[in-house]
Amino acid sequence: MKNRGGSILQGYAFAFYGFVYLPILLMGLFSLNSSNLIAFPLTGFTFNWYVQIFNDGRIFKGLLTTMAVAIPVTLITTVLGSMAALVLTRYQFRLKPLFAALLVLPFFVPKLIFAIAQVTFLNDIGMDKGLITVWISQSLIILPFVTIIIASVLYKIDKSLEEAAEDLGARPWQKFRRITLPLMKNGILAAAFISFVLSNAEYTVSFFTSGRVQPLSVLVASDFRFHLSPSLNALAMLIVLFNICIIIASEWLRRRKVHQ
Amino acid sequence: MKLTGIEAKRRRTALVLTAPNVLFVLAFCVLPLGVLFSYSFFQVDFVSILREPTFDNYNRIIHSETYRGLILKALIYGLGVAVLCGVIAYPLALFIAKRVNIYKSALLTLLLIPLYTGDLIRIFAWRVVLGAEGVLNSLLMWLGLIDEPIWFLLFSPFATTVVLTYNYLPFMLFPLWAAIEALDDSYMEAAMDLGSRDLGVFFRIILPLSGPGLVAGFLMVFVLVVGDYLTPQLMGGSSGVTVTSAIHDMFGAAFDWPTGSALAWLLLSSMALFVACVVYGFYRSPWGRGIRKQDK
Amino acid sequence: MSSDNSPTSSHLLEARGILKDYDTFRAVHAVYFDIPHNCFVTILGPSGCGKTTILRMIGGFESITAGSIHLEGVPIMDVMPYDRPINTVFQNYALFPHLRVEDNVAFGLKMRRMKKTEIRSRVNDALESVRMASLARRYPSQLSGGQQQRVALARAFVNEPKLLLLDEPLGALDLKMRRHMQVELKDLQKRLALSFLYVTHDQEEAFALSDIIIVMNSGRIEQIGTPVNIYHAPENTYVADFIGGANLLEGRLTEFDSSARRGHLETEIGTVEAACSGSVKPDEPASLCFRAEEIGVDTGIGGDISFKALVSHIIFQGSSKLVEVHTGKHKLIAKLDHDVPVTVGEPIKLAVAKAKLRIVHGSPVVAKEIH
Repeated sequence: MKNRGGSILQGYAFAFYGFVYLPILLMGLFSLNSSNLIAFPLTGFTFNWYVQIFNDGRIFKGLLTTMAVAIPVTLITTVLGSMAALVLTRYQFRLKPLFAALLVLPFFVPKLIFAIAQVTFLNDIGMDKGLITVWISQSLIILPFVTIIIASVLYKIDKSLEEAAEDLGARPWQKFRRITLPLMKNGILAAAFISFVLSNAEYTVSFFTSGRVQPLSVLVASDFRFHLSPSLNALAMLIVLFNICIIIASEWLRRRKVHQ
Repeated sequence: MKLTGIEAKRRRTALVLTAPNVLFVLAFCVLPLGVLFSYSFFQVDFVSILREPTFDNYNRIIHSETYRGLILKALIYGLGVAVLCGVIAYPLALFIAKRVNIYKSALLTLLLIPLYTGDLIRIFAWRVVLGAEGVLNSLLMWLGLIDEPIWFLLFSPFATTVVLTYNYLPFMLFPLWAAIEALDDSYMEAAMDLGSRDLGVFFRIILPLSGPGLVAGFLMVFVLVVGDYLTPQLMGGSSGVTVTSAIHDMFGAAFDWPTGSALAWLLLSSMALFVACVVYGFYRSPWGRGIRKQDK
Repeated sequence: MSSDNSPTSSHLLEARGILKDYDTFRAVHAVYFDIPHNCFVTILGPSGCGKTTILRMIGGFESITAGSIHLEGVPIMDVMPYDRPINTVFQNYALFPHLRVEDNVAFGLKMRRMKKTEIRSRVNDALESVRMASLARRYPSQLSGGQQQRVALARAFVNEPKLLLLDEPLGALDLKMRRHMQVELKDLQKRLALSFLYVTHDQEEAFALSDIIIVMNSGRIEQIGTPVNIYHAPENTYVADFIGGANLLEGRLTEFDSSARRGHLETEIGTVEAACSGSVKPDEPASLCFRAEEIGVDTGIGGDISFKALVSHIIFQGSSKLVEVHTGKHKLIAKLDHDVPVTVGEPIKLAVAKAKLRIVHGSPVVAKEIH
């Protein structure tokens, strides 16, 4: 009974991961197919689509904008997220559930509503759309993810280590600098990686708040709204491969223990 | 309670850490939503916005069958996809939590990759698969299984549902997995010991005890699907008119920010109402007993 | 501040009516105790009795809801842990996993911005005195439990605190290691001429180490005294039972001389005249208390209280045996020589020397089993 149930579950799990990865694998397959129709039968192998992407100046420019967005967003979210995670795992106060709810609020507000709220707000305070507005709006959405990742690491750190530091004369900043920070370092790094990836991938909110500075996601979206092409496949595949590396590195860091 | 110096200093540290986050979210999320709320009472006068409070926008929307229908459609999609995600994710959550040891973190990381890769690329990949001249149709035709493309694969409610389910599965899977993972194996062994068979164990022990995870996942998927804007736009074709796209139109071509704001706030409130009902219902149900106990 | 609350400074630490509330739950009820200089004080009690909370309040990790703590006459209630001249050895050692043994030990000195050469020699001395100098370059995860324990000790006392707090520091060690570390701890305390406040639930450990034992139960102090005092002159039935499981017989106080602290107690083995513990009061429940080893077979010699009992169990212990007997509604345990003839189910005549009897406050807690 148990074994049969087990093998059914195992088969199901295979099917599930197939469902999850099939679209991505097919995308990869057709990024290497020589035909410019994305359809079976396959016609032959080529790297041309990738070459095309690397030679596309527009995409390179978009990539630069993406970096100009993602790096500050990563900094903002890891600093704020570290603080929030410390509060959530290290302090007890009555309004803590409210604090947690406030943190995740931007993520659960429908992105379009969040975006138009930004638009009306910027309109009312007379601020121009640009890099700063994208930094802020993306940071709000990404902050919950970063906080959860750092908190998951902090949660596993024995609180008595910080008490021991205090006991030995460390003031709050010294305690953080010499004990808490070294122990949560991997968590912060893992969160920073994810923040970077999420910022790259974010589209809806960036579209509304970016104005004339268009990150890659906004550029590409307007392309593929109207036509699909194998070179877009290649670009998407490059992004996925990049993400895979970063996410695996992030998870590895997050689960790693300090000197065990 | 009297605050001694120690307590006061700790509170101060907590405050220093809390304040930047609270201010950040209040200033750039809550305040903008408030501004949006204020707009829902304004009026449009050709190309400018008249700041004279009125309930007209809400009145118009509530009495419009179209808008009521759009909100309802969004809620139904949310409900349907959340149920679908629950059904699909449950066996896998159970599998990862209780049947896998060594590859557990690898399997979980594999789920994170599509999640973090972003909706744009996920949708793009599905368009490649489902398009009229896309991979699936061409494969079926090439194999001779069909003579002409199956049109409903793309730009249809079907396509929208598939991709929404695909997009938000991880939000069901992770809370479910966490809830099942936390279950002590001894409960299940005890039930088995008392003569329960596999299915009995599942329905009597695992399902009720994983209730909080199921409800958390359900609500997350519901909220995210109701608020999803991109998927119906890019997958739904002519069926892709949603309440969010209607709001978008009013902020774009139609230039009717007040009605758009009112519609947005009506959507937000109906979502909040639904979530509050589910949470309250769950809290009062026998399944919520575990949560109630933890509170004390 | 009232006059009886003002610190006299003759003690190292004075706790005056400290209590701790968590929301509606009172973890510690206003307790009073002193810690003398150069003294090994142990708080002994079952888990959840509030002993660790007291330690954490003295260490500064928990605020106190009411009361005062004075260290050498100076109030320290509002002093943060990092400003208190007190150090702690944590239950799980709390060694910093990312620092080497020597850096763990040097941590407190570095925080005080001591000169590097000074730090090095002090760390070396401290590690030397716990015989860990050879492992100074290791990381905590590369050490055994006992070694980690020694590093935790060195890390605490290297700062020359006025008081060292130890929270069940031997709890994670196996029995043999524990015995060994007990000797080292006591030795260390004498060498450092430092006061230790030690928390444990293990009474053997408390007896082996302490100069003074504070017995706690559900947030209250039941008795403070030397080990001998606590064992032979328990204040009440809780202490009598918790420490080595004394025999207790419920009784009614018929006569009570409060100045001589002697009274007459009517029990089912007769009315006895005996010394009373300090907490005995005329109209409150009282019990007769005596130890298992103070019971003998009745030989008819005067000066003893003799009584009949029914033997219900015998446990062989080598040179002696524990015999469980029943007298009316009470169950008693007698420790008899191995050659005394006893049969289960048979009556036996037993006796206790009058001088060994003691009247204590309270009713017998629960029916006892042979341990």
